[in-house]
Order: sequence, then structure tokens, then C-alpha cells
Amino acid sequence: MSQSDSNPSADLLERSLALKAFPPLASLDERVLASLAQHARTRRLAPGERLTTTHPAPRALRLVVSGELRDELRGATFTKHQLVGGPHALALRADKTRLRAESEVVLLELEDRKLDALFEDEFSVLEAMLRGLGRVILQQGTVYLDLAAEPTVGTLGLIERVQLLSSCPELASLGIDILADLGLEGERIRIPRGGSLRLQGAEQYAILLQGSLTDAAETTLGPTCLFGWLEALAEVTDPRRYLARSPSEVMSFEAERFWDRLEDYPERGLRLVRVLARRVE
Amino acid sequence: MSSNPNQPVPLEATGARRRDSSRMGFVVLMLAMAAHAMLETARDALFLSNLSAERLPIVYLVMGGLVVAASYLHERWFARLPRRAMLVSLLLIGAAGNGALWLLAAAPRAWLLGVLYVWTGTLATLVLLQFWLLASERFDVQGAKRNYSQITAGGVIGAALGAGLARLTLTHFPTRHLILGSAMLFLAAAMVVLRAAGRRPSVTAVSVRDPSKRTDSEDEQAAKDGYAWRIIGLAAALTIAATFADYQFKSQLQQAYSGAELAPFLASFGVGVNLLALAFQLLIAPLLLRKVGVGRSLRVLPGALLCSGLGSALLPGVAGAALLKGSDGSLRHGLHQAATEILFLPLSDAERGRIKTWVAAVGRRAAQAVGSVALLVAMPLVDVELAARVGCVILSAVALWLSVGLQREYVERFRACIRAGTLWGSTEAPLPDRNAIATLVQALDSKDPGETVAALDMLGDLGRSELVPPRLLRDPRPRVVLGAIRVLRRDPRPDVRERIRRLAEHDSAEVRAASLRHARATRFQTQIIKPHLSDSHADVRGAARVLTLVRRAGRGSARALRSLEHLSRSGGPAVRLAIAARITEIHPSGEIAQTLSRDDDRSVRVALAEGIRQGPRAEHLEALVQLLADRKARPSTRSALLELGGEAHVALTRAMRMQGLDPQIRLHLPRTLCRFPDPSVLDDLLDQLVRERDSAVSYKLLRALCSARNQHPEHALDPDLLQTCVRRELDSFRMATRALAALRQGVETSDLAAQQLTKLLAEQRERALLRVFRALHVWEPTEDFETLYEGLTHRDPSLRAASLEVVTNLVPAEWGEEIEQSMGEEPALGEALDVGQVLEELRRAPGVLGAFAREFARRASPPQLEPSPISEELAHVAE
Repeated sequence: MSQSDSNPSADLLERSLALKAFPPLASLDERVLASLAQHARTRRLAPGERLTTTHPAPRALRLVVSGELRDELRGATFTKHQLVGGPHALALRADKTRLRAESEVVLLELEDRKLDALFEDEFSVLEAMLRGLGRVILQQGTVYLDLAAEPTVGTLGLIERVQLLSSCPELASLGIDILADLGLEGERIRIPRGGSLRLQGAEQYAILLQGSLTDAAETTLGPTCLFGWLEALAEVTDPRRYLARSPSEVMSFEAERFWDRLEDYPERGLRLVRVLARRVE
Repeated sequence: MSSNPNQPVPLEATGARRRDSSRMGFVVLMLAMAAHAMLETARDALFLSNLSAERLPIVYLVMGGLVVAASYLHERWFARLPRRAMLVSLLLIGAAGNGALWLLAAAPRAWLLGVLYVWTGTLATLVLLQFWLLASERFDVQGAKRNYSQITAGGVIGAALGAGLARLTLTHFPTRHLILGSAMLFLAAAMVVLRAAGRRPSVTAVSVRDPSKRTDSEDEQAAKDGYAWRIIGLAAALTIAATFADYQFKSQLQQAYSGAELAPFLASFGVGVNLLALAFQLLIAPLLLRKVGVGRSLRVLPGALLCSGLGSALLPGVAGAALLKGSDGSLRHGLHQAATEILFLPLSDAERGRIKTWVAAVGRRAAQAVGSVALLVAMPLVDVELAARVGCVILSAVALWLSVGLQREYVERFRACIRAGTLWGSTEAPLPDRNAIATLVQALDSKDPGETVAALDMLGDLGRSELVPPRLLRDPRPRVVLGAIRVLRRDPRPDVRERIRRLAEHDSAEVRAASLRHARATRFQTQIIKPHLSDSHADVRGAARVLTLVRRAGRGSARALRSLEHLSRSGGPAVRLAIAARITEIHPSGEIAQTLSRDDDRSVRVALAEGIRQGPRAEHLEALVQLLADRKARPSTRSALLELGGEAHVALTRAMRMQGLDPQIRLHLPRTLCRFPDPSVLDDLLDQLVRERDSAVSYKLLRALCSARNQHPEHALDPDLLQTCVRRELDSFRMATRALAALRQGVETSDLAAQQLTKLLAEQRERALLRVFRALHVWEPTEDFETLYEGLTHRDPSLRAASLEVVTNLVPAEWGEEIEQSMGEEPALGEALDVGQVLEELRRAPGVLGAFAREFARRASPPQLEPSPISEELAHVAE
């Protein structure tokens, strides 16, 4: 196995190209992509060569640039521009791996700590990864997230708001301070029976506190349902309308604030990427 | 610097286990050393009463050979056995062997005295070896520094106790009964170990490293880098020096005292030396280990031997020899033993076992044999006592020299451990290889539009747009055409310009609008633009209108310029978007850029940033600073600012000093500034950091400083400002730790609000620690504080302890002590803060922390508290 410094043909450009072709990163602009590629390193495997890591392994993303790679422990095969382990590899678990090159393979590796540093320099990489994951989750059919909290009525102080938000594992990964900040900004909206709620494309998301709503596909949303968040994450811009089947109350949030806070604490973004990736599994 | 995903496990349980292990270690070592002291007294008294001191070298030689053989056997067959079982077995063998010797000693014979002598030394070596191997499995380095002093104090007390018991026994019984007493004490020690094992079967080593984590090559590293050899060398030099000192001492005793007086004198001397050792061990050794570190503590024994060796030359007779022997006896089994044991902690389990065994065999017993042979050889040739005295001084000096070099190697070994536990290695991304341009050009023909666009963007970014064939502008896929327009819009080739212009007639409205927005205004004639002014698509109409005005303004029409200014304020979105895209074609355009930079429509702001990026001018600086507030526009804005160079640097520095500027802009100035290649950026950032009052901006400043520091590690920064910077972060961390400790102790943890407030404060403390390490990185960028931070926040307690050990060796003692105190299992940060004071202060804090504290107070309705200001640091933490 060799690294790219010993083989000049695997270079920054190839790496950038491979990253660009990887759906979660496709929207990155070229400069950011080049920066991301510089944080990556290339590994070359000869046919039949193995790449093994013991548990706990260093956490890293591996993207196949060319060739075919087989995961001997899980029985999956990965080819050009596929993330080894599939999208859930973004969970960056320190699992044991045993990969075998079926042909000559070029791999890009991104260590998680380098990702962390990169997110600080280039927030758009984190944004792109979260958007990519959001899209994958939506494609898999998950649109609404149910919070573990009990339905909340009456006074909703900061403590209850944070408790409500943190009952969703994805949001809990952001940390109390970000949740408190988001919670403080949440706006409570009452909707009479038969009334409608319109969320502005990728800009808003909400939690149903009480009552019930139906979406355009006639899916019924019950209390403590988080809706619009995955769309906001995936930047689905179409406005969405919900009808109240009974007197309802929602708490709506601005997605821009979520992104702003994430930019202030990019290290939390990596945690969110990990938690989201587990949902893809 | 990343925050570690492996959150540390709670430390309380670990602390309790360590305390238990420490207590057990204290008792076992005390009993074992008491047994050894009694046995040693009996051995010396019986040997010297019946045989000449000149036979001592022979028994030393036999003893050395036996220990070497035992070490070989140990490594070959017994190294993998559980340490506890090995220790118990040895203690029981010791008790049984002593019992047998007691019976045999009823009729002492010369061979028996020789066996007794060899048995005593060999048994002590093996028992202590197993004892310390067991201890090293139970403590990481921080635990060792805290507990080894106490454990070795147990050994010193045991030695004094043994000597005292020997003295007492001798007043009523013959000397050989000391052997029986020793057997009983060994048996008691074995019972204590067994009982501890029975009481807590679940106790496992807290710092056992998984051997699979270390490779053979890593295990061999100690030998290769000389660390192991240096430890063995130090032990050997000190052992030979001690052998010479022992010979001198015993020769003098034999000359000065009769057989009957020897045993009482030896027992009294043993008590005196051990009391001295105990006082030193309890009062001075812990301080030395924690304050001056392991490396420097190791220099105490060789230094003392050197001084007393020189002193004994001035003080002949028993007094001089006693001084030398006393120095050795009072330091060797206390401070020096503890410091030496800590030296083994950076090694893997297997490596530690092997090296310790060889230190015991080669460094101690074989060295003792070498010393003995040297004495035997010297006997017929020179004055042996003089030779021993001189040899002792020389070897002490050698040991001192060896110990000086160990400090750095010890830290480096810990570094290696931390790297092995946290990182892959430090392979940097290789430099780009220009040969792969061909790969990109090839990718332009890909069937996958994503790949084609990616290749286009990459070539554009590399300034190699001339390699993009103009035919891509005729591609049937609009996405590819739009990508080609983006890359080729500045291309000077006439056919490319013409093709972009012709795209104004494309079927796709998006492509038409892009052509009208990006093709050079001079390529269009009025009659070409005119039909687009009534296009069905608003974007196309807007782009056409702006194009008309830009062409007229370019020909000097003041009216067209005024129209553009007006439209930038009140035109429709498509018009404003088109103006933004053509901003660099408008002269002057500073005012228009400023207007558009505050546009409510984000796409306009983003287009403006991208437009300015095509050819930024100084007149755009104000707009660019404003655009930094927009996350989407920021990447292009930063590129434009970088292209402007020095002027932009000055403008950004000035903006950063304006405390009244929009916080959303100020927040992003540091990370923009740090991208400038000029190293003076570091000075600007540091200067601003120490005077910044906004904690969010200050955090960004620190991050920017780290990033700039990586680019310019050699740049000399103002040392006073650096100290202030680190000091401030340390203060914040200390106060956060104290506040958190007060809260944890003072509030009801089952309460939801209390839980959340505590959790929030824990997050703040975690961030404060990260800031400390960022500041340290700026202070000394070559020391890899990033890795140390990772180690310090790792789940593995031994890795945390190792990181802390390295940090405390790298930073000034005052900082190290503070970090150690704040990071320890039981933070010792002076007087605890009153929870009421903490809550009162938090309630006044701005932001979410204050909101939380106020909500907590409202819900908990605590008793009215007297408001009392804490320190400014807590307020800073609270911010």
C-alpha cells in the first residue's frame, strides 16, 4: 500500500474531482473543494491487497477514486466515487474494517480531525455534507422526526424548550447552548381547526406542540413531531403547507439561525453529521 | 483543533479504585519491606559476625547471577501470568523459604550464611519487581505521581518498622529469630494481597493498555531510542555506587565494632536512616514529584551520593561511610524508587515488564556483581576502600549525567504513546501533481454532467480555462452550458466570446439570462439586446435591461449610471441580480456595490460577491466588508478581499478595531484576516485578541490566530501579549472549573433545570479548555498541542494522564500546575466557590447562560442571596 507522495499521478486534481463527484459534496465550489482535497490523502492498493484496521480504529472517510474494493467483514463492494461503507460511513465510527482491493484501487481518506479543522476554515463543506445527508434521508422516505418528549401545553419556558429540542438525538448533538439559543428564538403559533400553516421552503422548520396537522400527502402529524427540519437541512426550497385537523399549536424556528449557530461552533456540526449518518443506516 | 468525540468517562469511580489500590499498595509494600529489613538485619549480623567482609563480593556475584537467571525465566515463562498471582506466590515462597532458613540457622555454617545472603537479595528483587509491575498496571502517570510517594512511604515505614522490630527482637531473642519474624511478615503481606483480591474481584487495572494497540516496532522503540538503555544505565551506575558505599560502610563497621555490638548498631542505624527516609518521603518527595517533575526528581539520589561521596573523603571512618550509606538508604527506596517507577509508565505493558525485569537483573543485581568483581580485583592491587570511595563518586557523576538526559526522552515517550492512541500519523497532503491536468480534460467528455461540471470548475480554479473546449458551450445539457459560461466568461478567445453571446438565443431561459448577465457588454449590439427586453422570462428581461444600461454607462452616460444606481435600490430582483453580476463593468460602482451589499435578497448579495470577485477594486472594500455578514456570500467575498491584498488587509484590521461595527460582520473579520499571507496578520490578531471584550469575537480571533500561526510558526510574536493571552484563557478555564464544581456540589442534581444548567456550564468548561490549548498552540506552535488536547479529552484515562504529563513538562510550571489542578480527578483550585455566588453571577451573564440561570432561579426559588461580585474572570466565563 502506498500513499500519494510516492505516486505522483494521484494528485490534488484527481482528489478534487473525486470529491466533487461525491453527491454530498457536489455543490461545493472549486476553491473549497481544492481545500478539502488538500486535507485528504490518497492510498493506493494493489489488486488483492488488504487494508485492515483494528478496533478502535482512527475515524476517517474513505472515498473510492478508482477501482473496486470489497468490505470482507460486511460483504459489500464499493466502486468509483462511492463512499466506503455507504452514506452511514459519515457516522465516522471507529469500527474494525477489512477491505480487499478487487482491482487496483485509489482511495481518498479524510480523517475526522482534519474534517473538524476543515469545517472551521470552510464552513460550506460542513453545509454541503449536511445537505447531502439530509437529501439521502429524505430520499429514504423519512420526512418527519418524532421527538421523545411528552406533548407540551401551557407555559413553555426555556428549560422545557431545551428539553423538547434535546429529546431529538439529531438536535441534542448540537449541545445545550445552541439548543437554548434556538429555543429562545422559537415562535409559538396557534392554528384553528381547518386553518393552515405555510413553511417557507428551506428557511423554516417547526415542532407540533399540540393538535394534529396533515401535509400535502395527507400524512398526519401528531404532537412533538419535528417537521420541515430535514427539508431545511437538504435545502428543499418549495414552500410547504399543512392543514390543522384540530386546534393546533406549533413552535416555528428560522433555519438561518440554526446554520449561523452551527457556523459559530463547527465542531458540533461534525457531531450532527455522525448522528444523521446513523439514521441513514 | 478538534473537540474529541470520545467524551471522558466519569472520573469518580476511577479515583475510588485508585485510592483502594494505593492503600493496598501501601500496606503490602510496608509488610514486605519490614520483612526484608528484618531478614537483612539477620543476614548482615550473622554474616559479618561469622565471616569476613572480603567474602561479600563473592555473594554479590552469586546473587547477580541468580537474579539474571530468574529474570530470564520470568520473561520466558512467567511474564504472561497475572501479576497478582505472581506476587502472592513470591510472598508465600519467601515466607516458606525463611521458615526453612530459620530452622537451619539453629546451627549456622558458612554455606548457610552464603545462602542466606543470596536468598535475601534475590527474594527482595523479585518481590519488588512484581509489586511495581502490578502497581504500574493500576495507575496512570497522574495517579502514579499522586500515589507512588504514598506507596513508597509505606515501603520506607516498613523498612523502619522492620529495623525497629529487629532491634526489639534482638533484646530478647537470638539473631536467627529475625528470620522467623521476616517469614511471618511475608505471610501477612501475601494474606493482604489475597484478601484484597477476594474483596474486589472486579477491580481491574485502570490503565492497562491493550497490547494490540502497540506493534512490535513500537515495543522496540524504547531500545532503539536509548530510553531503556538510559534507565538500565542509571540503575546500574547507582547500584555499583551503592555497592561501593555498602562495602565501605561494612568494612568500617567491622573495624569499629565487635561481633556482639554489630547487630544492635545495624538495627539502630536502620531505624535512623529509615526515619530520615520517611520524613523525606512524606514531606519533600510528593512536592518534588509534582512540582519539579519526574526527570529532575531522578537527579536527587545521584546528586546526594556525589556530594556525600566527596564529603566522606573529608570525614574518614564510620562517620564518613555512614553519611554515604545514609544518603543512599534515605533516598533510594523512597523518592528515587517512585520516580524510577514512573519512568516505566510511558511503555506498553509488555515492554514495561521486559525492561523492568532487565533493570532489576542487569541494572541492579548484575551491576552489583560487576561492582563486587571490581572490588575483588582491586583488593590485591590497591587500597580497596579508597578505590570504592573514588568509584562511588565517579559513578554518581555518571548517574547524574544519565538522569539529566532522561527528562526529554521521558516526555517524548509519552508523546509517542499519545500519538499512537489518537492519531494515524502526521502524513501531510502531498503537493499537487500537474500531470493530472489530462485527467481533468478527459473528464470534460464524461457522460455524467456532474463530472463534467466538476472538471470545468477545477480547470477554471486553476486558471486553465484555455483548456476548456468552446464546444462545451453547445452541449445539449443546460447544466454543462451554465458551467461552461461560468468558467469561460473571462476567456479572451474571440470565438468563445461570440459563442457566449450567441447563447442569448438559447432555448433555456436560464442559459439566456446567464449569457446576458455574463457575456461581455461590448459583444452585444442594441438590435441583439432589444428583443430580450420583452422576453417572457423576467430574469432575461432584467439582464437585458441592465446590459443596455451598462453599455451606455460604459460609453460615459451619466444618466445610465444614475439609472443603475436607482435600480440597485428599487429595481426588481432580476435587475438587481444582473447589476450585481456586472458590478465590475460599471465605473464607478462603489456606491452601487454598497447598496447591493445590504440588499434584502440573499441571491443578490451572493451574486454581488461573485461579481466583485471577477475584478475587485478598492472602491468595493466597504461593500465587501458588509458582505462578510452573509454566510453564502462569504467565500467569494473572502476571495475578492484576498485579491485586493494590502489595501484589504488594512481595511479589515481597521474594521476589526471598531467595536461599534455590526457584530455579525466583526465575527467574521478574524477568519478573513488570517487568510492573508502577510505574517503581520498574526500581530494584528494577537493585539486585538488581548483587548477584545466580545467573547464570541475573541473566540474567532483565537481560532484565526491558530490558523495563521500554522502558516507562520517562525514569526516572532510579542511575548508579553502571548503570556497575557494564555493567562487569560487559563483564568477562564480555572473559573469555569470552579463554578462547575460549586454547582455540582450545591444544587439538586435530580432537578431538570439544574441538570441543564450544569450541562451547559460543562460545555462552557470544555470550550474553555479548548481555548487554553489554542492559546498554547499560538504560544508555541511546534509542540503539537493539538494532539495533546485530543489526548487530554480522550476516553482512555491513561492517555489523558499521559497527555497531562507531557503538557506539564512543556509549559511553565505555573501554567502546568494550574492545568493539572483543573484537570485532576478532584480539582484542587483553592477555596471552593459558594454556589449562591456562582448562581448570582450567572444570572447577570448575557446570552443563554444568563437566561438559563435566571430560569433556574425562578423555578428553584432559592433563598435570597446577598449579591456579591466574584471575579471578573467568572463574568468572562459566563459571557
